[in-house]
Amino acid sequence: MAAVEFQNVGISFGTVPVVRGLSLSIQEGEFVVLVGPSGCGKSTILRSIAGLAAISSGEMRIGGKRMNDADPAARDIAMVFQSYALFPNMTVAGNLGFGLRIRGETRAEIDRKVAEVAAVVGLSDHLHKRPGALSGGQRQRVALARAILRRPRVFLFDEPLSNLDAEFRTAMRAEIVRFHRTQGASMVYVTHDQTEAMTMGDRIAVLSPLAAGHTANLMQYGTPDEVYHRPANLFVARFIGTPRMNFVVLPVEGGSASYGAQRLPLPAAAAHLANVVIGQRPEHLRLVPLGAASGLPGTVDHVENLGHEMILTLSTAIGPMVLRETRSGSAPSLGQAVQVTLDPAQVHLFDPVSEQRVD
Amino acid sequence: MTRARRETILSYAILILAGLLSLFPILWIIGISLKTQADAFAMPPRLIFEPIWDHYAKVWSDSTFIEGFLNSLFAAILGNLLAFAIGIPAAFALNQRRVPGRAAILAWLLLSYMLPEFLFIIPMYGLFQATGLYDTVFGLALVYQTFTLPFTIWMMRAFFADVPFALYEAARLEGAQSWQILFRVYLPMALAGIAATAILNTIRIWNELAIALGLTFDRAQTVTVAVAAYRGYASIDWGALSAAAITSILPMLIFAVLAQRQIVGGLSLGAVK
Repeated sequence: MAAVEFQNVGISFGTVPVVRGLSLSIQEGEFVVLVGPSGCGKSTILRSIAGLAAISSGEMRIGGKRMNDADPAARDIAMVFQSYALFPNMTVAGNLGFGLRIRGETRAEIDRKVAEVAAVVGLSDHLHKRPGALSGGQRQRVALARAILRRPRVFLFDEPLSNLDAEFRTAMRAEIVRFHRTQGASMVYVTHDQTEAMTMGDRIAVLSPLAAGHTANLMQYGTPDEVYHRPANLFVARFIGTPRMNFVVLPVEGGSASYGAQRLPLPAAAAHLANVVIGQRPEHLRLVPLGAASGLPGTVDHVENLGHEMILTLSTAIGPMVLRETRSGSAPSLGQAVQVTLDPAQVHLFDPVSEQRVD
Repeated sequence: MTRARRETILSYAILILAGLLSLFPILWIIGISLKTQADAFAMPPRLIFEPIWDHYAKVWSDSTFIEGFLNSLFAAILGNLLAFAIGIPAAFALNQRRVPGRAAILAWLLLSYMLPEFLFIIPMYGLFQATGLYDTVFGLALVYQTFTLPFTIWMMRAFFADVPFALYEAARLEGAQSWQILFRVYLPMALAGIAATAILNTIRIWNELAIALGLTFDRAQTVTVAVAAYRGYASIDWGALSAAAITSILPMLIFAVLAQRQIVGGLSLGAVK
């Protein structure tokens, strides 16, 4: 049984559709990341699970039960907000015990549960403080503890790390993943940061704004490896990966395409196209000695030295190419003439009209 | 002298002048309230004189004035209680995400706040005579709602709008009903706003004359009517009138000094955002 299931769900704000034709199933105990640029509907989808955004069509189930119109409190979910949404007028203990008080539990029971969860997230010494007196990371933990107290079937996270500084974000990322392992509950996590998506999710749902002209938001739903190594379309190929994948549109001639002097034989599905989009990740482009029989000549236009590797931007006759070069041996310098080849085993092919992957 | 220093001195000079200009009438009335009739009307004005406390003694032992003072106090308390009892839930409702016709409702409230007070007196006079509300403090407080309630709703809605909506949503997820969210989350966070609104309402009710004059006779006279009563048919008791006027502004003056921060916060609301 799926923990959360969307069947052909549409969500509109007034007359403006934000989500269309969404079918997505999140398994029991799975960590799913919803990722996409601004306006792709990722937060709206998350809020619709919580009951904070109304579903206009289709069906949404939690634990097999239709929950389209259920009260937010009756959905067996807990949510960690981007702003943490802690009540500033209450202490940490007051914040954690809020829901228990609303549900009418006894004072002793509330105190016991609050103390227990505070120990789990390491907040025992801060129970008397107000959120204003806590650091960003501590507030994050209070929000997390409040969610744990509900013992939900599904945890929802709405960009919970976006207010933290970079160093702390990495630590919290690991903490949330560990938390998922120990809790065993399903988690749905919204982010616009593809690093978070790649490192945290069991599966990633890549979403695109409807405004970009797509008929549905969901571009691809798969494991991080699938999304990275077999992007289903140009949108996913562009969105996942830093630096971005290189793309060139090449004419198809006699069942193959020419990347400079390099002949690329195309599979049958691509051979009948007039043009083909060839994508290759920066780490799969290779520098070859100048004057080699195969490859594309170019000059080094820009160098980013990251210490352990260099990101080279080359200008070539068919457009700029970005190349990731691990620092072994001598790296080319700015303005130097070079020659690159594609790794034919790592080429991604797309139909330039439908923008879909062809294999 | 540097340019910046000259500018500072100039701006202080202007501020002191403006302060003197606006305080002058009050200082003059304080003067009259402490002078004998002869001193008060001496020409040229006597700036140095022997202060007398007779006028204050007279006013403070005048039962009509004391009753008026107490009536104003009750009208202000009652007026605020009524305004908040209705205004807080109304403001909370108007602050929800999607309220059909919110702009129209708010504009309508503002309109009724801007109507001249005299407009209410004639229809209300008939109504109050018929219902027995005429010349009662409760009746007065009811009429005061026509301007304190819209103002309270406007102010409270603005303060509620400052509470992040995510807090409402978080409380909803915890199973809280709207009234629980209002009382446990919104009201504690808007306490400064309630204080500012109450102060501004009280000042408005305390200073109101027209409605009190039209809808009270002798039992529910307010302090402003009592002050005006020293202006008799045949003569004006300038000394007592001035002493009563100064006495009547004292509570608001103390109130304003004590709650200065809240008032400024309330008045400048929305100015910074």
